[in-house]
Amino acid sequence: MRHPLPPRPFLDTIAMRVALVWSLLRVAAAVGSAGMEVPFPEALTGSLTTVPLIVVLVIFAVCIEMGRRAELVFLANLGYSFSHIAALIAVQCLVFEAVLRLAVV
Amino acid sequence: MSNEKYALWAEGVGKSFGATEVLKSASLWAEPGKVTTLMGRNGSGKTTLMKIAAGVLRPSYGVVSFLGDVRERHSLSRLARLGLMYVPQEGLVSPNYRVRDHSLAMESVFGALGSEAAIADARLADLMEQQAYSLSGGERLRVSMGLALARAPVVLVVDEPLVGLSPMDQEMIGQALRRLASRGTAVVTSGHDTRALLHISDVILWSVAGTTHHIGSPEEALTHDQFRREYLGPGFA
Repeated sequence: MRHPLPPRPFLDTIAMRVALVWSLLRVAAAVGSAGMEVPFPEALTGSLTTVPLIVVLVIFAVCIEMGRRAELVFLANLGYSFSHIAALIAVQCLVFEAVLRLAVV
Repeated sequence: MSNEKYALWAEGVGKSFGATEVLKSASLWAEPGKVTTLMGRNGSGKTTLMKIAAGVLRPSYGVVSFLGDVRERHSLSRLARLGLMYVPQEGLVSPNYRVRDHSLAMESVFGALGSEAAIADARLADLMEQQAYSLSGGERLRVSMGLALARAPVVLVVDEPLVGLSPMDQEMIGQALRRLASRGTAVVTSGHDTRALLHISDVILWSVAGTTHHIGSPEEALTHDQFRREYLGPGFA
């Protein structure tokens, strides 16, 4: 039976890119919120309504890069669909969001 | 036409991008143990048809059948799990990774695949530790063929495998495709390197103006008046 996670080192690269893009987006959102005088810790975590937007942006950015580097077609040849990879990215983002809220709030 | 003897069968396929109709009622068949080659001028829709057959693109209309089952919403990942492999024109390797990473990834998903023999067949031993970004176009295709030999797919769809290659690399890729066909793989390929492709093919399909015509064997292609006149050209010998 096919493993639910793509093989390494492809999985490692996806995880690293998700961490990088998510961090950049969170920092940008926090700076923007602080500029609008949103108090801490809300400036860092943002509202819950920003979470879907962050997730979609991370999926978009990571998948664009994977497509550019021919990783999507290689992983598709291994049986991993775009939606499967997008779901993995979304899960990782949601874990980061949960950890951020637990750490800050 | 019965599709039972074909591993991959696309019939009456149409595809439009916006207002541009690229394919209209095009067809493609791939028989186990045979190399089927799609020939045609640039812009005739060969790559689009191959992408649709492999599940990379969705057709605007038409039917795609894989291993006898009509696939309403087929995708490359689903077909790959059933035994299809698709190699795009630029090859299958990702520049970020070593050649060995691709081989190990394929092994981890599909099990032990006889990679050592495949690597020897594709003369890849020297390339295994190289990062894919440092490979030439010919080397990328050799690696892709090595992966295909290791995978031994039920159907291999490989787009323009000989383009821009030296005669020696063309020979090597051609041998790899023939070897796969001799093991029962249904190979679908395309390109403009007419002599080399006629040499390795069993069946020729002619892609013209968004549709396809079944020409037959390479010998029949050479004596097909319209194919000679409109594709090969009068000087082709």
